[in-house]
Amino acid sequence: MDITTTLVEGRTTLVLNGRFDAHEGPQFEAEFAALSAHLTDPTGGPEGGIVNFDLGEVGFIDSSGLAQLVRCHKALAAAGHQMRIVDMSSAVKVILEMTKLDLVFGTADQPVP
Amino acid sequence: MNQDMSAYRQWASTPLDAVEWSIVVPAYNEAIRILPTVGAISAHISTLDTPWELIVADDGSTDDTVALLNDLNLANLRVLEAESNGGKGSAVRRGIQAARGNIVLFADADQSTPIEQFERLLAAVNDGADVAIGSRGSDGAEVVNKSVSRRLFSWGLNQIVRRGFGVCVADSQCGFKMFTQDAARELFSHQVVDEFSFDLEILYLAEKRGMKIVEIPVEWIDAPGSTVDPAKVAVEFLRDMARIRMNDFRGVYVSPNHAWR
Repeated sequence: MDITTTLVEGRTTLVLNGRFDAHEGPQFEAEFAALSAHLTDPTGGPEGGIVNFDLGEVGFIDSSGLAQLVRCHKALAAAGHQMRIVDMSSAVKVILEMTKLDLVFGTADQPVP
Repeated sequence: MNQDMSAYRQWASTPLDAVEWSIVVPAYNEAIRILPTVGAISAHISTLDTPWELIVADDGSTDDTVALLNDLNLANLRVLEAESNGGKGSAVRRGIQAARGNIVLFADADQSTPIEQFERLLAAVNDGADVAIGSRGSDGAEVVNKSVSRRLFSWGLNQIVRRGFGVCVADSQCGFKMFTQDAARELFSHQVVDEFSFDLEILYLAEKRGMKIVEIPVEWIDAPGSTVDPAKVAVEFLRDMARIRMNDFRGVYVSPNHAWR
């Protein structure tokens, strides 16, 4: 899975591309750790306290990938930030619905209240 | 990018009286993996604009696999329950015998062969194959994250199958196989091996009946959490090969259906 961190319209965005399963865990954790370090930098930090996750090119996510997203959600919330999924493939959308995690993650259409 | 969900929503909410495709997923204690797999299959196959059904053939799971699936309330998902753990072969057999589609795929519950490769096998069946099998051993296959030891193990089994059994395929064990309805009914009405080697038995029967078997190279990704014990599997495999040969000698596989020789 390819992971890139970009600034999109001033917002920190983590863009994932590929299959998100347990094999991708170490790479994802490393990327998120780097992102987290940036977020705690007083000169850095996401605009509006929101970090976007772009899953539009993630073809499949398994339970370990979902667990990673939940960890990110909790870690960002603990740091006073908010996680928002701004794009997702239909497979990811269906999987989030089936696992009821769509109620947990904020999306661009339906931000978590 | 955000994709149209209307086809999936329609499939999820409206029962179909007739289906063209059936997808069978055998499952045993797959509570951790089953929802993402059902989600991925549902999302993809629904985009292909053809009526289809999903059958999860549970094999006596003792975890929440069945409860999780029933809670989904998907209109075209059927969950077949078993009172006890009979083996993967028995689960696949039950699922395929319950299938209504003109074309039937069985796929492993771990999505190790991503469902996006459904169309590759479908093209082969539409082109005249009775049986289309996903293959990790054919030219063009892509195998990801499989350990060296498992690769050697697979190679060894394949050599035994080809030389000792006469089933001339590069990969008999990939859990991604498609059948016409006629071929499925013929094969699974005679298939008796309940365990790991049922794939081999199916291919043995298909070759005996002169069915057209096409191998399709697939992308295969090792799914974390595999419980395959190579030593145990090898022993069972050799035992089942002998058993299949003996069954054949005893006439267990004789078919009254003269459409197949």
